[in-house]
Amino acid sequence: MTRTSVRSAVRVAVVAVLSIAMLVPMYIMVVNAFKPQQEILLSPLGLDLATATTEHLAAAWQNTSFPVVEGYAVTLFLVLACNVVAIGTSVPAAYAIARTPGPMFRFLLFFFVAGMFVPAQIILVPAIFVLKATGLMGTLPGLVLFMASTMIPFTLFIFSGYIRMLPRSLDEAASIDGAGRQRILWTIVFPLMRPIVATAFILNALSAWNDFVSPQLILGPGSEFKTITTGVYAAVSTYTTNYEIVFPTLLLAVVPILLIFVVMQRHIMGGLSAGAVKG
Amino acid sequence: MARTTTSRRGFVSSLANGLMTIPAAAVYAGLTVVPVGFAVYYSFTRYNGIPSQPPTWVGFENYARVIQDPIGDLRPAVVVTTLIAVVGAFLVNGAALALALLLRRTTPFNTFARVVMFYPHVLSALIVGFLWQAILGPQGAVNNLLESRGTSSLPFLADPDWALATLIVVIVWAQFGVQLVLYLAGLQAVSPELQEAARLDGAGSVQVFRHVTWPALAPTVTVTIVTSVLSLLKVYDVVLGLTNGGPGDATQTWAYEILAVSFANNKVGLACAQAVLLVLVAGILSFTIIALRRRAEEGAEAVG
Amino acid sequence: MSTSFRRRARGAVALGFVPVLALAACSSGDASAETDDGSVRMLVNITDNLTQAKWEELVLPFEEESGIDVKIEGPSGQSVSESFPALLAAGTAPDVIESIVPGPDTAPELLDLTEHEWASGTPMADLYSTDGTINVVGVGMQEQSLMYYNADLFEEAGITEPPATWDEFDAALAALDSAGVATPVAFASDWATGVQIQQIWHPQQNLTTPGWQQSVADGSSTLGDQFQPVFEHVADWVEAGYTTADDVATDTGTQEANFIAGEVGIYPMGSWFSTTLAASPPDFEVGVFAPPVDDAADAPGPMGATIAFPYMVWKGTANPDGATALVEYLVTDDAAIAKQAEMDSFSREGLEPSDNEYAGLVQELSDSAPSYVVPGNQTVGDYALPVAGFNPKFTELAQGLWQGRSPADVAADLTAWYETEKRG
Repeated sequence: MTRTSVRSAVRVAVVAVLSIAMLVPMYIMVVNAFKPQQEILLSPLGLDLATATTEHLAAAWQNTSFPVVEGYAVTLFLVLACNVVAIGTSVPAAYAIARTPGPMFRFLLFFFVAGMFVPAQIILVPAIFVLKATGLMGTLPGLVLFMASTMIPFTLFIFSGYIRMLPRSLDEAASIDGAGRQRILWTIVFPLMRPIVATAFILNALSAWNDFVSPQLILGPGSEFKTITTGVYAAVSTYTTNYEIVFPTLLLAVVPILLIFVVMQRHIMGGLSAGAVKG
Repeated sequence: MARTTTSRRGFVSSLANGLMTIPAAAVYAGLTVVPVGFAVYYSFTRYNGIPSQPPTWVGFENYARVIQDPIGDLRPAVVVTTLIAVVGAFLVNGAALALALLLRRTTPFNTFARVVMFYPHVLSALIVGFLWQAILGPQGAVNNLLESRGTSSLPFLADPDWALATLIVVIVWAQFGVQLVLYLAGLQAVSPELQEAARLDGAGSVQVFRHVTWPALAPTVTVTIVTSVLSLLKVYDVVLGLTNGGPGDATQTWAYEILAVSFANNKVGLACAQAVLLVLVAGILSFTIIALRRRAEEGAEAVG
Repeated sequence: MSTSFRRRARGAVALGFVPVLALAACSSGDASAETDDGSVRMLVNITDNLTQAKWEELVLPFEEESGIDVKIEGPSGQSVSESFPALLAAGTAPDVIESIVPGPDTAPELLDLTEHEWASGTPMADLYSTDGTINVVGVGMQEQSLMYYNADLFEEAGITEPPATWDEFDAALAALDSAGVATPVAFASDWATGVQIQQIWHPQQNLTTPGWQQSVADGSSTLGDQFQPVFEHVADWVEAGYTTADDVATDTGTQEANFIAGEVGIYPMGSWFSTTLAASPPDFEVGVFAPPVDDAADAPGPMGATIAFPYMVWKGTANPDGATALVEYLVTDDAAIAKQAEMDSFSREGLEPSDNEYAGLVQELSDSAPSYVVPGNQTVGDYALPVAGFNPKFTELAQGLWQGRSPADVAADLTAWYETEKRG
């Protein structure tokens, strides 16, 4: 018993030290949201309680010249919609690719994975041409489809890798019982994919959350739909060195998505239901 | 793999499977593949991106410019990007796997630690650059501390070589959370019964890892290596926030050349040629990695 | 068996399509890219001085009088010069564009304003016109070649008069260094490295080669020849330790904070720095002098200047009259001009001197300049350098001086780059 408890203590110590190191930038971001400009520049780590103030945070909240709550709502919608499309289309496709032998499907996997090779900024403008041609330019569905299409390669890739780790015996057992392809997929395989679906959800949510260029270009400046990041980054241009604006703004953009992650990460660890894996 | 069905059944089955890929393929083809086609077309033209001034066909001129590199400004970007991809991939995967193993069990402490390890990826890359500049810049937190102790400051961002090393570390810091989450998910699918059985047989943790966990994890490892290499090849936003390519051209990556130099100067044709080359390199790399990992993955399915 | 497979396969496809179809079906078709309701959209630069709120205050009187709604848009994380071509490509270009001047690519997209009388009366209209065509107008002039200095530190270092020649300048730097000043001359990172070096060089450069941009463009001079002398000066200062590699990794905000905190002797910058100074006044006396020249008889040399608050109108606007009226208001209405001067100071004949004492110092210096010249990084009009991306490349190469590269090598690289990149 002592051996495990020593090892456990060492483990906790190592992780704790690493965690503190990881948190330093977060500490800086939080602490600097409460400091005036000169103090931020000249003493980044310190927090002088005498001069600490919430006025910059309040100013950032009001500075965004559009309703903040609606901004969060639009962003949340995007996060959900893009994930529904990306995950909804990727699950069947990944299952097909992972389970079907043959060069055609290997090629298909490669075809999808190739989408990860391309930096999104390069295809944004040509994608706009496509959206214009299909009449989806300037619409929320058009934006969702574009953002989802950038998520599909990665999502499909990680799904196919994960499905390959699930034993075929499950599929075969169910098939012998008379289940069709759809039933096998959605009633047996999909529930087992909970950890990786949650992973995809979080990572895609982050993509959607932090993307402030696509919504601006696709929805157009006149649109009534503004995401929180587009609005918030309007206050932070390339030339801003006014950290009184930058740090509170960053906090506004970051805190909600962190909360989403904390909630979702439990699902990754949902684990296999008991008895699912039989030899 | 023994074929238990007739070849016609096999073909129809494959076809039916193929149909399942259509929705994903439709969205992807329409909004990613077609635009890439545009980009390929532009790469053979001289075009400034403004619709009322249509592109002029120039054949391979842009590619020649890139490959011949007359003023030697693109070669450093290749070196920088390669270093980031190779060194970064090792560091990212090493850190992610190690931490995934440490944080495997779901305890409150582990949950907290997981959030801490992952949150850098939550911050948009631009912010990450900003933050680390505030920490490592000539008058940043670290150097402030050093100077108040009397030691001279460290040129994290001022010296070209240091700046590149710093960039890699910052990228790894921001990036490894993704691979961590992938490894955590993958570890969940490794059969606990097998590991239990191995341990009961007297195997120590290291042996359990080497002979049970690691082989079973093989497909996840392929995914993490490929995704980390691909995203390292495309690094751009962090560079903008941290050094903006400086000092000089010490931290200019290939994506920086495409977006901050070629696109910014309205040389869409050249930017697209550079992008096509990036896509080709990324493709060859991924293909190689996936092919090399085939054998290991087939072993994983056998374990399941 | 095969029919049931096919049926199930179709089911699979349908299921997969459901999310996609649902989206397309609930498409509300909100393609509101055109402002056909009489409103005018203006794309502006948002900085610490130029906030969204200030822009909106600026256009409010115009909105009230004309009934035209003005929508202020920032470039949202990018710069205006990147946003504008992207918006053009997306088909959602704004009606009025501020803060950038026409380049060879964007010039064909801009409305010709020459026919308007008020346009030709605006400051620097002649310098920024191309072959007589006016497509950008501004409210005044931002002086570029200004050496702000800490008068108290000068006194401590025994410098009685601001230097006028290079030799005097070097001597002043040496004196500041001996007096223990942390940074005798402060350069900053990114765009600033290039801009500051060019600003220091404007007077002497234009004395040696008047209209140097045209000489480079027609081949009678090269960029390397033009800039090698100033590279040599900078290299000397780097060697003597008056400026370090740390400096060119420090952003302008921080360097300016250093200046205000009294750590810097001399800070080359443009006239907009006086607005920053007024916002956080230092507790020492600040002075301004013109950059040094070779021969004392020529001092002060021509001063670099750029157009302040440039405005351009997009040719494809749905509301040309409204857009032009807005621009006319911004560049001719006295109240509007005064407000812009508050936001980011500039010089203009007949402008009421502001309360900003630092802007007053700049104005004094500007009045004594024999002439004004357009910097090289403004590729516009007849003084355009026929290349894109001059300042970023210049900055990238010049930063090599702080790593010990020789001025001759840097100059040669600059020329090589120009030769490869120049149009036609």
